[in-house]
Amino acid sequence: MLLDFREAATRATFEADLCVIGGGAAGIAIARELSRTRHSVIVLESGGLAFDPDIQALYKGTNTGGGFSLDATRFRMLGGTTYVWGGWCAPLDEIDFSTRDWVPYSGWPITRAALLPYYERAQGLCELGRYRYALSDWPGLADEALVLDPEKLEHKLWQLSPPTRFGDAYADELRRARNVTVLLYATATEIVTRENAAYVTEVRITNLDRMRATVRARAYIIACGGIETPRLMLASNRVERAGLANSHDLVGRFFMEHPHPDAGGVLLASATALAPYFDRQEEGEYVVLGLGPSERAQRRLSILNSSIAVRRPLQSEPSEGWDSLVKLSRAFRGGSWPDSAGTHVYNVLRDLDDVLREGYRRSRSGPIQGYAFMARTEVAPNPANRVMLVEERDALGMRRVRLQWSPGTLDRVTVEKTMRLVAEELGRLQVGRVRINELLLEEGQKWIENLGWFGHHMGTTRMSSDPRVGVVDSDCRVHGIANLYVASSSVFPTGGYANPTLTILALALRLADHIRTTALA
Amino acid sequence: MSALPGRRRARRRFLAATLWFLAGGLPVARGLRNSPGGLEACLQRLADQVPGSAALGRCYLQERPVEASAAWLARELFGDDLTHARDGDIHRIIGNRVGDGRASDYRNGNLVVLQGWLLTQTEARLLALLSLRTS
Repeated sequence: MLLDFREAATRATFEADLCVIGGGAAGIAIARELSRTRHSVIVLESGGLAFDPDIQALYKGTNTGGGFSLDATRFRMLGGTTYVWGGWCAPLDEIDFSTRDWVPYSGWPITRAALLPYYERAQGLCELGRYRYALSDWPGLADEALVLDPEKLEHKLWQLSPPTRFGDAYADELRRARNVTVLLYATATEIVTRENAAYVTEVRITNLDRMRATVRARAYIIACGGIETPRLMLASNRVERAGLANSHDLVGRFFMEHPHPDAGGVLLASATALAPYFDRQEEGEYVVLGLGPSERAQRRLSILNSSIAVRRPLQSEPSEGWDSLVKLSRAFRGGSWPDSAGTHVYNVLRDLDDVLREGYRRSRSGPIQGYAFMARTEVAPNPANRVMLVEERDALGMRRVRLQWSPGTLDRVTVEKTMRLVAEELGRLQVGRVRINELLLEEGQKWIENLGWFGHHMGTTRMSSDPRVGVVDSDCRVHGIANLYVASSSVFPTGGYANPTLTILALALRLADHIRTTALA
Repeated sequence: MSALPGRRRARRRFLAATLWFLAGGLPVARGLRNSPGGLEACLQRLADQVPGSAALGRCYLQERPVEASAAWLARELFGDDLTHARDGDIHRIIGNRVGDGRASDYRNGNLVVLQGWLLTQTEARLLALLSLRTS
């Protein structure tokens, strides 16, 4: 059922077997899994069914690294940030789970194989078909794709969700679920533990109408995302002054995002060579094929994982200059020099300003001359990148957040070296000529001016078997607290290049199974 | 390249040369097939057909002044292949050496970045040679 906390009795107490804090993708996934059981579940969602600017303002904070604002890249409503989700789905790669000696703090305490069954189940939540992320799973695409040197590049593949807005898609199902209560307009402001801080006894909630209530459960899951999860834990400092489970000063640290630099582009020798790499429908599914450094290349070059996807096609209105360029290109491919070569070169040079403009401007029609590339890179986990609390408080009296972080040199070098690999392969295969965004070549932080951000907030309650370097264990249980868990990208020790939603859902489903057989058994 | 107009001209010349290479590198040019005068004339014709090549070549040499020797570049690019070559065979030899060099460069990752464009070392050195020959 869906309840509005604003209409509840004053000083109410809610009780359930399981309390899920956060009604985003992870929280909804867990609630759905347990809706078919005998256990009672309460989901606390700060917002309502629709966007509310006053509720959204609770997300305001400071980002010292710039580039994105904290209240524009995450959303407080049922369904959470799927409200603006682009739908890109891909699993993490094998190497993302491994300990890499050139990446400090790398390594997950679980294997990709352990997560695979949950990836497969997560597909359906995103309204996708079968779990198929290898190029060989798509024979039609494989036939057209480039044959890459495995020492350098490999294919990366995404499936595109419609995208699924989790609030819209699952509200009715949750409304009908007899053992699930979704409490809207209920913001958790404190998690209360026993004196020894080893067991959660209740969660305190409030709303903009200053109503207060308490939620008591046998087990609790924080599913608030990569920034709000540590915020709640840091704010819950009644027993431990540094915040919940923060005796090793890890909560909020190791923040990661996926920088998306405009990486450059390619001017094609063949207009159709990269057609398979632009969004396409294959066997009824929307897929995107991209490129990235192979595992061997990552190890050889000591770089992180990343991906290059073709984005905007570079089209032009036909002009003499472009027309001459095309004729020159075709003639040279055939091994001959056109009779009027001098004229053609002159045409290109004469129109060169137009060629330059049109080459990097999208227009409605005209032949495709090339593609712009968008990169998406892993960032190296760095404890100095962190979420902290400041003294300023929001309308509910909760301390606001300051995000202090910056991408590092290895992140930039990863994109630079990946683009070089792309240039080598596209050159070898006579596909075209690559241009790299020169900001990627400059040392220092200038490249940050060129970055796009997509709300992939990860790492701030990272997973590790060792409580000295992790906040949660391999079951996503908070170290030292018997009945508190986290379902969020905040548990990622490393982020890979892949958009995090599919992995968030896989981990949430795995946690639901675990909770059902342990804490709720 | 401090003044905008000068920079724009340089970019135009640069892009022209890059586009020329984009088209497949060194073509078997009918006009060059019976080129008289050997290597010098061959290179001059290439430079004439792609006005931007000299600027690209100079850009390359600005960053690698130790390579600013026409004799050294010619040896690096062509070895001894041109020493006893007939004039009529020079364009073919150049084409083969540049083609082979380019393929090797792509395999081995020998790329240079000139104003953002990724060229093979072989192409860049050929442009550098052109710039020295025509300067």
